[in-house]
Amino acid sequence: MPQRPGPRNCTIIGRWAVCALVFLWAAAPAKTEIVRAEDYDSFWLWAGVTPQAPLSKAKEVYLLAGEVSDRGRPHILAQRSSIPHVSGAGVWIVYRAQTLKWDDAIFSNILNHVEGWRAAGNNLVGLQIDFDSGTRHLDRYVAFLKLMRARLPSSYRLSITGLLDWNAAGDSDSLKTLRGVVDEVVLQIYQGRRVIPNYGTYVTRLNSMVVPFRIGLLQGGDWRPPTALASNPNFRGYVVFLLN
Amino acid sequence: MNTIRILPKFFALCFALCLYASHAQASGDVGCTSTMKVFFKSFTGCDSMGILSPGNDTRVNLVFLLADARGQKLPKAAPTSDGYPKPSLFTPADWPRFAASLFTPKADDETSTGEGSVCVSFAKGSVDFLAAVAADKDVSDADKTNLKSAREAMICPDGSSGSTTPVPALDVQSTNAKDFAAYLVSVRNFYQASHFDAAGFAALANSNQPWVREASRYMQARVALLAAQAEAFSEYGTLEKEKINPAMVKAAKDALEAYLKDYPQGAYAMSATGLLRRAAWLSSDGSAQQAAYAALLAKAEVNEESLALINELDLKLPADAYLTEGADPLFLAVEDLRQMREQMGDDGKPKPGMKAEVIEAQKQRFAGNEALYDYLLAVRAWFVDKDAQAVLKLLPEKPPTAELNYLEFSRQLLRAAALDERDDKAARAAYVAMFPFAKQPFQDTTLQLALAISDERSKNISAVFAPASLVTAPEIRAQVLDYIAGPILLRQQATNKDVSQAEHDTALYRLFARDLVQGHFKGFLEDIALLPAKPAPDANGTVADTFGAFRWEGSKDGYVCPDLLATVKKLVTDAKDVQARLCLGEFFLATDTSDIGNIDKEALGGTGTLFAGAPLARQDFYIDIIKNPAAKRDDKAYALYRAVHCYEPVHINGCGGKDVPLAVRKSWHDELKSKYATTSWAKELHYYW
Repeated sequence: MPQRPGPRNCTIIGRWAVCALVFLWAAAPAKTEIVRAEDYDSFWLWAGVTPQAPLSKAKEVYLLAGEVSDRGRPHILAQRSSIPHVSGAGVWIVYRAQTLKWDDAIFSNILNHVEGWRAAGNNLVGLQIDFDSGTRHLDRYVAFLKLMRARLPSSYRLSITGLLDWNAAGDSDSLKTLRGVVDEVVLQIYQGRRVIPNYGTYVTRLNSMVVPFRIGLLQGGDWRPPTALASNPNFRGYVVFLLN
Repeated sequence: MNTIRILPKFFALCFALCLYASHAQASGDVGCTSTMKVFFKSFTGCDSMGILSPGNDTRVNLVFLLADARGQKLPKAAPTSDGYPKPSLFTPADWPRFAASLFTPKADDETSTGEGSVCVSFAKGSVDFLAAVAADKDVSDADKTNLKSAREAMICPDGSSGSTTPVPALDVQSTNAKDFAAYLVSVRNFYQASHFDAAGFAALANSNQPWVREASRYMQARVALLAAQAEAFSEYGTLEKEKINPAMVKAAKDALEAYLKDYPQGAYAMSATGLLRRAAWLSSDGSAQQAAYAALLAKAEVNEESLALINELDLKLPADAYLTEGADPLFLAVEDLRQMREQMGDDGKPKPGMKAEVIEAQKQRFAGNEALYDYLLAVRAWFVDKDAQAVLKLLPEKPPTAELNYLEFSRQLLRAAALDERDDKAARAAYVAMFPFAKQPFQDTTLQLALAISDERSKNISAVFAPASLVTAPEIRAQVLDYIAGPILLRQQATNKDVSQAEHDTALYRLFARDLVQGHFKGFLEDIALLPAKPAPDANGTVADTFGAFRWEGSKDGYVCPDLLATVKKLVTDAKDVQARLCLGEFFLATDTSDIGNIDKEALGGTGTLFAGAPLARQDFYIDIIKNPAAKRDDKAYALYRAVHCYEPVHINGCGGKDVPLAVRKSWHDELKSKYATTSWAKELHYYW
């Protein structure tokens, strides 16, 4: 972890970073750690991934429900065999979007599913949209998310996944526009099944994140938490992408 | 009932998507960037190439083999401007991009497909029912009206509402009308009460009304299959195969086969065929699955439907079903290629690769496909044994004379690569000879990539930019400019009137950046004359200035610097000038001109730039200045400050140069905090990393 000859050691309590006077002598540099699901409490369960033991202790699970595909007219491809009935954990219903050209039918279909999952007895926390928006088109994405937020009943939270380079691109003005629109951004440190090489350099710039964020990790992937992460007031923890 | 034309689609998609355990191990929940390399020994998900290869997505290999088997020329979809997924231009890349590169996405009239909900068939079922009622001469007009309004009043409740409609109690006259009415009761029961109760449909299985009879027979089978999996869903909505009722799957399979026997061309035959595949999958009958897929794929050319089927089988067909005795040799080849991938053991080292005997034992099964058999042996020798000589022995010279199918193309390319590996001068000619015959999608660009890599390895990279160069793909040429080209080539392409704007810009940007990064300051001062004027803002007021970095105006806050030109002029006079070097460091920090990224050593560009000298590293500047007794106090303090920050935040050096141990970083921090404690830089630094 950080080599802090100085006196700062901070923890998160609620929204606030609380710092205490602690002296840390040069400990060994942080080692790369392998992400073990049992050390975390929030997970993505993607289509086709077999539910596994750590889920039973999960605080929140993000379940992929479907994909909004752009093969022809945008439409939804369901990705889950049946409506879940999760006991215990909070549930996020996740839609992967390949396009943002949603018509009314798509919006209402998805909102139906949100209600359907809640009606099935799930403790439904909110809706997550998984869309790869390049920084360059973040403004369009934000416009879309405002529409989504307006349609989503206020009892549900709205989450999105994000790419680490949103920050690296340094376009903090665009990122600021997400504030008040989404409740959280889950930043992924992997691409496909590979951990992004040099993710550390991207993580460096997380200090400029202006919306609450989580870090999305890959089960079995690398993770070395950067120095300032724990003291970042917007950092809300991790979500682990489970693999078979 | 009234089902069902939707179902084939439902099952095709749900099969493909509802469960995700791909044979290809294709994930891909986010986009990917392909590496410019021809041979991949493992599956990355992003790097399918235009040859039959272990690193390809298994589905891509199967499509190539199917096209070969039919002698089919694969189509090329017209590129869509904003379509997803945007096909890659030089490689099949991953499965979605590959599929999109072959077929332009079609319009789809449904909002949602693949749902694990019985409601998928509700709307189309109604259409079929109403059509059958309307066409029946034995049903009076009054009864038709009643039946129609009863069907139209019905709903399929989705998860959010438990509402139902009353059981339709219709007083209708003729026998056929009564059967239609009874069918409606069963349909209501199916959609609103129980998806697993087939009694109502069973009672109508011998109806004299032909549509009612056929639909009931079909529905009986469908309900049986649903009932077989009724208890098999986990709390997360995933299907757990071990909880499936095998006896009920068997009953459903018998019912489906009976339906198909009586109605081979029936309205629901296609759906029933899909359900049979599902039954085979649910009962883990790999041979039956394999046979069904092979038969379906043999029926037609590679088209959009077969891509959906290939996607489905990739998810549903277990690996051993590709290998079982009697499996189609194309499937066998797909699995052989997959097994040649390099696998890592738990110790992080590669596991021993596939042995030649494995393929040799399959010789009989490749009877009639000898060329494929030889190629598999050669690919194995190439990837597993890394034995180019063996490849040349297995693939004797056979100059191309006609358009190459994927197997022939792969064979020729592998042979040329093996020649190349042995530094045989004939390699280049072998690549060149293939061009006129490489007409299938992605063959040409794969070949261009192979040729460019060969030219790079034989120090002949300028051939890529020769007037009649065969390497024309913009991505490949850009890679050469970015990673390999030296100053002469970059200047040539930056001033060549015949190149595209994009290529001109790539060359000029890289020329400026390399001049600075490699410390060619004099060259930079000459080259900067080529800097185009700053473009005017567009309608939104945005300035898209490719070369904006090179108009750096210096810094007025923090460490103060003059603009880039003044900084470089000072460096021309004295390359070790303290302030100018710190300012060049500021320039690198403020722009991404020095970040070109790492590259796979085997990829195009892996041999590195032809610019002389080692790239400048900011850390080296700082270390020099820290040690320089003549450096001014404030400059030294700033060098220490920046040097410490090189390792922020995760102990990875972001400044270039040789990594220094933690103790050295601590000493920098301590020196700044003690000797230079009064400087603003010391006050700003709180940690080291």
